[in-house]
Amino acid sequence: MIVETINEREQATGTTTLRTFSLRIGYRSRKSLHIVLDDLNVSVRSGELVCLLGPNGIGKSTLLRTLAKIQAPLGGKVELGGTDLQSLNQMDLARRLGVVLTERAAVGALPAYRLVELGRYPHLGWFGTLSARDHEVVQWAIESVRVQHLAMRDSTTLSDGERQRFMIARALAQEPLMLLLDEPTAFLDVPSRVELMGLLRYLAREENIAIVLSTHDLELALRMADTIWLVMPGGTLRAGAPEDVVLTGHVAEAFQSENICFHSGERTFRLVTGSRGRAVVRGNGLHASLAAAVLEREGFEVCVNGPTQDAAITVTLAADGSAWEAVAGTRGNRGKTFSALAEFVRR
Amino acid sequence: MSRGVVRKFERRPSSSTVVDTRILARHRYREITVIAALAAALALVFLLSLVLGSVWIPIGQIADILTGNEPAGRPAYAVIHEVRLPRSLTALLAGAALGIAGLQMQTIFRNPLADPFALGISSSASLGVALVVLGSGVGSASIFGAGLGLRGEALIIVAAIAGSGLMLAVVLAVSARISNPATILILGLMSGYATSAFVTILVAGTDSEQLQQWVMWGFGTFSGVTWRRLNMFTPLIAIGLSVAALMTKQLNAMLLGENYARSMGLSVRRTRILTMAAASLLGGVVTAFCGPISFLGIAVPHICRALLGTSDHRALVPASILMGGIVALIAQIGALLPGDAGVLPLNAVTALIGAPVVVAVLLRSRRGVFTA
Repeated sequence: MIVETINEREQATGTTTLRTFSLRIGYRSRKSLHIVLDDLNVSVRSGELVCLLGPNGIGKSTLLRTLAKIQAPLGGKVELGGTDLQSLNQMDLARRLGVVLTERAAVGALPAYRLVELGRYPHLGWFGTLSARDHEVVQWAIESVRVQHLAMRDSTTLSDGERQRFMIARALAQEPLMLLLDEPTAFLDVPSRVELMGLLRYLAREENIAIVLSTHDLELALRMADTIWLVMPGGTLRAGAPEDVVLTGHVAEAFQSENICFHSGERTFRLVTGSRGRAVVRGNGLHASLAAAVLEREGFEVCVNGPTQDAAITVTLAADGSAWEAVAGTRGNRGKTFSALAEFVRR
Repeated sequence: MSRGVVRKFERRPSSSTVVDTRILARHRYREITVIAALAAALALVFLLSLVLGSVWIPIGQIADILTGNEPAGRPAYAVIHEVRLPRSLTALLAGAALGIAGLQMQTIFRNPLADPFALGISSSASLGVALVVLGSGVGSASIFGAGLGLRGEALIIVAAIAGSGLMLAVVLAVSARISNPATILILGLMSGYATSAFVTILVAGTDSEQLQQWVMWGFGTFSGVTWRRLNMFTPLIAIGLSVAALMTKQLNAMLLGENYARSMGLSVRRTRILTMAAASLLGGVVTAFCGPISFLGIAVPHICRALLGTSDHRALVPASILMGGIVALIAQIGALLPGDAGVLPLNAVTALIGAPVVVAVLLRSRRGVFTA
């Protein structure tokens, strides 16, 4: 809870799966080095779900690509399961690390089950014959992402969310120590996003697997992750429990802009609107907070059940919340719906 | 290489539904049935191609000839042994080669329009041949004196092999440095256009007799391969086919695209180079011995995908070999249809038979057979 201990996470249960040592990442062109992030010392334990957050173009993808050995580090090293990433060959790496990419992968005329079978690739002999155990693993992978009933469907007929689950099952079929997912929720609708994050949360815990994913779903990440990796403007990375990075103001700082501000209590972003003064809502529960939302949207600074002196507008809700009464200076009105309230406030 | 499994997962008994794998068994059964049927069809078409021709030779007599019970002096023996048997074997091998090479290229480039000649192999072979045939007016007219002498044909094969081999070497050397498959494909196309342009220039300045010879070569034929040439043709095709047969696992991994393939442990660059080399070898050898045979390579994999209902290369590779042979033999039979009136250009026949089949197949399958 204290700022100073944010990077000194307790060594809880679980072994260290991934660890970076003074890692420097970026691009090497013919003459110059372009360093994106420097001196990264982070680690991921088995069973830990890490969400990588940060504004666009700040180096999230570069970091993921380096951790997946798609590009080489400019300095320092990455250890996966205690071995330097650069000393692992392609097959050894595939047995330790499963990857889910942003590109949509669908193959026509192939049951989803066969897609998951492809994940056995690093464990098979030259002819690619699957043993009984290989099939066991494939079925385990499909069952653990809970898409048993879809396994025989052609992968092109699946929804984005369903296909994403099969891609995760395929990565699981590699029996990796760690899963790396690049924006796994990007194409999904809201319920599927929440479900997928829940699934990953469950997989990390139940299968004791380390999971690192990048996402733009800040609120979801702050709710589900064990650890947040926050890439800050200026090329530093803050790691810590979601609540800690919120408390220290790093989230607010990372996404800072003139027009939005981060509300730490609600862990959401809000648009900064020209303030029309102070508004007071008198009432309780859901109706009160919804009335506050209406006023906030219209540019008021809202205070629920606060003092009514100097308030530009005061909204009083009936005890059962079924009606509202608003007073703004000399004007006043009453109504039942929030749209009527918004109408009144706008005038 | 140690292939010690880093981690082992245990499947825990689950009260919810399990994966129903009976459907997979049914898929497998269908695949095996289709492949067996294709093998039977190939045998039938092969026999038919021996029976049909300018003279009718009954199957009984053919069997006698093949088993050595027919004396060698009879005319039927000569027809079967010297004309039809090598021709049919050539058609079978060439068809299998083009079918597989098309499948390899389509998978490697994840492009349903790719064919064995996607890397400009056909047009560079053409350039080699054009230099010999069309350029002969300048220096080596004696070789070609009156039409296609035997020596001239051998020279054409050598020229085509030299042309396509050179192109293959260049393309492989360049593509070893390029990571984007689309770029390689475009480079192949462009070099194809460039070599075709050279050929056009050569054609423009040629007299009609040599032009006739050049056009004939462009028609394609399975009749030019004698037993002696089969001795060279067969092992070259066998090499290419074995590469495909041994790489079904890698080709399957490529289905999800190169990035996923790499993440699952595939050495993408090596696979790509090896497959491109095998496919181009097959395409180049067939072009050298039989002329530029279009269409077969692009059509056969599509027909097989639709027939089998799968993109799994474990089934597609054998099916494409068999189907390639079938289509080539049917085209060969079709080319002889006019009987005494002459022989139809093979290229025209393959496209005339094949194009409607492919269109029908693609339109009938509800889902795209090739969704990349």
